[in-house]
Amino acid sequence: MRQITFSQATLEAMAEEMRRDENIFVMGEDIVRQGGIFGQFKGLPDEFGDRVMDTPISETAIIGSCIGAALAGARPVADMHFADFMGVAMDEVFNQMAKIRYMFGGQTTLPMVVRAPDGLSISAAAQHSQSIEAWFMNIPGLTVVAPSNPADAKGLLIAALRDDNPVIYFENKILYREKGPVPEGEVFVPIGKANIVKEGKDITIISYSIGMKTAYETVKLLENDGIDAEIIDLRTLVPYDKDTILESVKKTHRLAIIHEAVKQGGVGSEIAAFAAEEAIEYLDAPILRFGAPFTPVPFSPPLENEYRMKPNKIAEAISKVIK
Amino acid sequence: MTVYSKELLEKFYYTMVKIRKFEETVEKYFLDGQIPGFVHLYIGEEAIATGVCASLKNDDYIQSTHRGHGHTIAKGADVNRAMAEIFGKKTGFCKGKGGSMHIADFSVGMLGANGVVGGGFNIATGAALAIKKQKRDNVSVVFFGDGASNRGTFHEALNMASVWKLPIIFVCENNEWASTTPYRTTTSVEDISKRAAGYSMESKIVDGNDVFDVYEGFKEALAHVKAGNGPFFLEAKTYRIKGHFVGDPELYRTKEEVQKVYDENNPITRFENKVLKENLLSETELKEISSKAETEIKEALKFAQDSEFPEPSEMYDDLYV
Amino acid sequence: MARELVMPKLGLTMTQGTVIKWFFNEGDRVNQGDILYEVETDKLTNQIAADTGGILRKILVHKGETVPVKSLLGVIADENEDISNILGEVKKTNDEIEPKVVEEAVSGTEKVSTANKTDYILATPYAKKLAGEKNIELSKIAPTGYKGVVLAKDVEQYKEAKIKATPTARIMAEQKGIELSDIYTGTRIRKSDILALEEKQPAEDSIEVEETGTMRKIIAQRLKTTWAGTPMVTFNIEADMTELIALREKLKPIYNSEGLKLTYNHIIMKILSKLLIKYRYLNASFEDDTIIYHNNVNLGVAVDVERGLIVPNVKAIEKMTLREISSETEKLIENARTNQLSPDDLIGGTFTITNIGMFGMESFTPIINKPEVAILGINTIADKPVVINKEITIRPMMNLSLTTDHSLIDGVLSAKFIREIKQIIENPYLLID
Repeated sequence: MRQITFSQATLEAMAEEMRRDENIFVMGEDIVRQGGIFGQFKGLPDEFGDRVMDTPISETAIIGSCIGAALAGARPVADMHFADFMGVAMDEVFNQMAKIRYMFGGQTTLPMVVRAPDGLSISAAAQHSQSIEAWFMNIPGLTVVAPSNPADAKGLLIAALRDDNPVIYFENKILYREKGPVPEGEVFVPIGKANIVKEGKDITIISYSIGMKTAYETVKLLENDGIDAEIIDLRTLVPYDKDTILESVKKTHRLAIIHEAVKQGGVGSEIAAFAAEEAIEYLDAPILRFGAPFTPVPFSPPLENEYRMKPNKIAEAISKVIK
Repeated sequence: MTVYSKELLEKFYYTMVKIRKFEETVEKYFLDGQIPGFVHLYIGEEAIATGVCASLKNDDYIQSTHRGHGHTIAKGADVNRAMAEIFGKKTGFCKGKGGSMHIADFSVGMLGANGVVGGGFNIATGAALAIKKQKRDNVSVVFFGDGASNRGTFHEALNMASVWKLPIIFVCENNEWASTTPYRTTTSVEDISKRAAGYSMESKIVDGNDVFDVYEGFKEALAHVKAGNGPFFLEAKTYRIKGHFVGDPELYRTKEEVQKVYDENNPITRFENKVLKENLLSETELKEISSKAETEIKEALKFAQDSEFPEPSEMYDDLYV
Repeated sequence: MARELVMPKLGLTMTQGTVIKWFFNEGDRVNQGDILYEVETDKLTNQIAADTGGILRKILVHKGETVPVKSLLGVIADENEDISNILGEVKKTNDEIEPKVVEEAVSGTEKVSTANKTDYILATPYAKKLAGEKNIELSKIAPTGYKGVVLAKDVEQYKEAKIKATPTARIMAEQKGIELSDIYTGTRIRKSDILALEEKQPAEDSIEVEETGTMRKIIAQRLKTTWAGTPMVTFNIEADMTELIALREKLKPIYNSEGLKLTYNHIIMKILSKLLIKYRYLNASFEDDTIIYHNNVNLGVAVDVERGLIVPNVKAIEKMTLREISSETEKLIENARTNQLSPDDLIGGTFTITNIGMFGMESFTPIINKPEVAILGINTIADKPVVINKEITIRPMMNLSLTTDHSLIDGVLSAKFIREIKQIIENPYLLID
C-alpha cells in the first residue's frame, strides 16, 4: 500500500471532496499564498480558485461567517491556523456553532468543519502548543475528531466534510510529516467509532492523535514485562465510543488513558469516570490517566522535554498496578 | 414626493400594529407569569423592522437580536408559532428549545435571534458570503443595536464584508440605550454610522420612527448592494420605549422622559397621523387593519396557551443530525 | 509508642514457631512483664512476656498457627495510635523469611494471611466480585498487589485451607451429617466438639486417635533419621556398685546439709567428665564426614517431661566439682520439668547420659542423640549373685549400656571406654587424680 504523509492525506481529502461538492469552500489565515503554515493546503488554490480564501486576522469573523454561510446553504471549512486561537472565537464555537441546531429546534443543519492544528512542536511555547480537545468534552452540540495516522486523517476529514453537523478536526502538527499507509480510492472513517488497533488481555490502553505513538512505545515496553495490552485509538472524541471502551475494559479488567494534553480535567478524566461508573466491578486495578503536567507549556527545551509523555514512565506505572 | 401603493401602506400599518399588539400581549402574559425566562420588547421601534423587511424576499436573510420579535414578524413568520415558542411550547418554531431570545423561522429567511450581543454580525456576513459564492440575487441583513457596535465582532464583520464586497446591509437600530447605559457614555461616536467610514463602507442615517424614511433609506442600501458595490450601513435613530427587559425597574431614566417620547415620537401614531392627514388611508381602514391584527394576535395567544409543553423525552432531539 | 510483637528466635536452629495460646484478647490492656502468649518450637514451649505496656491492639497470628521467626504476631500500642503503617508492612516482612518446613512436622497452615482481619480489606472491585462469587472470605486471601491490595489473581490462586479435624471427628461428622465448615473456628475440631453439637451420649468407640504435638513430631522425625542413618552398636557391661554405694552413703549427708542432692547419676557424670577428655573420640560430633572434637564436655541428661524426652546439657562439666555437677544437673532437670529451660541449655551437647534404672531396666539400647556419637544408658541396681574368688556372693550390680556410632568409633574403643567406666565405678578412689 502506498505511503503518504498525514499532511498529504488531508490535502487529498479536501481536494476529493471539493471536486465532489461545489458547496465546499475553505477559509483561513495564510492558506492561499503560503499553502498553510504546514503546507497542508498546497496546490488547493490552483485547482479551486476562490474557493480557497485568505482571511484577515479575524478568528471570530472566520468561524462566525462560516456559520452564516452554512446556514445559507454552503459547506464551509474554517482553518484556525493554531488550535490555540480558537479561544479568540470561542463564543462563535460554543454559543453559536454548538447551539444553533438545538436551540432553533432542528430547523436547520450546520454543515461546517473547523480545522485546528494542535499539540507540542519544538519550543513553540505556551500559546502555540496546546491541545484543547478537553474543552469540548463538555460542550454539547459539537462533534470532535482527532486522527492519529494518515489513513484516518483522510478518512475522518472526508467524513467531517460530508457530515451535516459542525465538526472540529484536530490535526497534530508533528503528525503532519509522518508517513503511513493510505489505500487508493475512497477512504472513509465513520465518526463516533473507535478503532482497536491491537487486541490484548491484560490492560486496555486508550489514546488518540499523537498520544498513539506513545501508546505504541509503551505497549512494546510492557510486552517485555510480559504484559499484553489492548490499544484503542478513539479517533472521535465527541461523541466517544462508549461501547467499544466498555467491552474492552470488561475483558482486560484494567484501563489507562494516554494523551498529550494536560492530565487534569482532560479527556482521560471523562473516560475514567465513565468506565468506573459503568464497570467498577470489572476493574482489577486503579484507572490510570497519563497527560501533561498542570502548567502552561514551558519554552526552554529541557522543560518542554519534561512536559512530554514518557513511555518508560508510563510502562512503569502500569506494571506497578498489574504486578 | 413618492407615491406609495395602498397595498404597501396597508402592509406597513398591518405589520407595525401586529408587532405592537404582539409585544403588548407578550408583556401582559409575561407579567402574568405564563411566559418563562426573559423577554425584550420591541415596542416603539416597529417602523424599522417594517420598513426594512418590506423590501425583502423570503430567501433574503436576516439576523436578529434578543429583541427580535419584531424582526421575526416583519419578515413574515407565523405569529402562532412565534407566540408558542415564547411560551415554551413544543409547537413553537424551535419546539420550545429556544424561547424568546432564540426565536427563528428559517423558512422565511429569519436565521435566528442571538442571545449574545453582537453574535449575529459574522453569521450574517457569512450568509452574504454564501450568497455571493452562489451568485444569488439576494442580500443578508443584520439588525443590531448601538451597544453591539462596540463589540469586536462588529469590527471584524464590517472589515471582512467590506474587503470582500459582500452583499450585506448592517442595520443599526440606535435606540439610545444599551441595557441600562446611555450609548453616548460608552460609544466613541455620536452616529454609529460614522464607523462605517472606517471600513470604507457607505452609510446613511434615517429616522427610525418614520417608516417611510426607513423604507426609502433601505431601498437605497439595497440598490447599492445589488449593484455589487459591497455592504451598506444604515443607522435608524429610534428610542427604546420599554425597559431592557420586561420587569426592568428602569432606574436609569425617568418615566417622564419615556412618556414624552411615546407621546411625541410614536412610530404608529406618526404613521396614523400622516396617512390620515394626507388621505392615504381612512380611519375605518385603519381600524379594520388594526382589528384584523388584534384578532390574529388573540388567536396566537390561544394557540400558544393551548399547546403542549415538550416531553422530557424530547431532550435529546435535534442535538445531532 | 507502638511495639511490634514478633516470633522470637529461641535457639540457633529455630526457623518457625507455633502460637499455643494468647493470654490476652485484642483490646486488652497489658502491663510490662505480663505473659502475653505461649509459643512452641521443636524443642520447647516458651512463655513470652510483654516488654512494654499498652493496649494489645492487634493479634495477627492466632492459636494453632505456625509462622516463621520474626513474623509479626501482634501489636501493642496506645489506644488511638495509628498502627496502619505497621500492619501494612506485615506482608513484606513475613514473606522475607523462607521457613525450612520439616514436612508434616508443622501444624500446617499455608502462607498465613497476615492482612487485617478486622479492618477494611483492600481489594480491587474485580477481586471482590470474584471472591463473592467463589464464596471466599477476603480476609483469608493473601494479597500480592501494591499497597497490600487483594488482586483478582490472588483470589483465583487461593486454595481453601484444610479444615483441621481429628480423624474421629471427621468420621463422626460425616455419619451425623454435620458440615465441618459450619463449626470450624480455626482450631482443630475434636470428637468433643461434634458431641457438643449432638448433646447426647456418644456411641463407644474402640479407638482413640490423637494427633501429635510439634515436639513429638520433631522427636519422632529425628529419631527415625538417626536410626536409619547411623550404624549403632550397644555395649553392655555390669559394674559392681558396692564401693559407689558406700561412697554415696558417706557423702550424701554432707551434701544434703549443704542443700545439694547426690545421686549415682551425678557421680557417673563426674566419672564421664574425666573420661570423655581422655576418650576424645567419644566426645566428638560427626556429621557429613566431618569430625569435630569438642574441648568441653557438655554432658546431656535425658529428662522425661510430660510431652516427651528432653535433653538439656551441663556445659563444660570437666571443669566442675561434684558439688557443682549436682547443683547444675538438678537445676536443669527442674527447669526442664517446669518448662523454663533456655534455648542454650538444649544445644551444644557432646555426650548424653540416660537413666531408666528406676523402672527396673536391666539393659536397653539407647539411640544416639545426633550429632553426638555416643550415649550411655544407666540401668537398675539390683542384688545379683556374683562369683568372687571362686565363691558366690550377693553384690549390687548395675548394667551400663553404651551405644556408639560405629562409623566413627570402633568396637575396641567403645569397649575400652565402657570398661574404664566400670573400673572407676568399682574403684571410686581412681577419681582422685
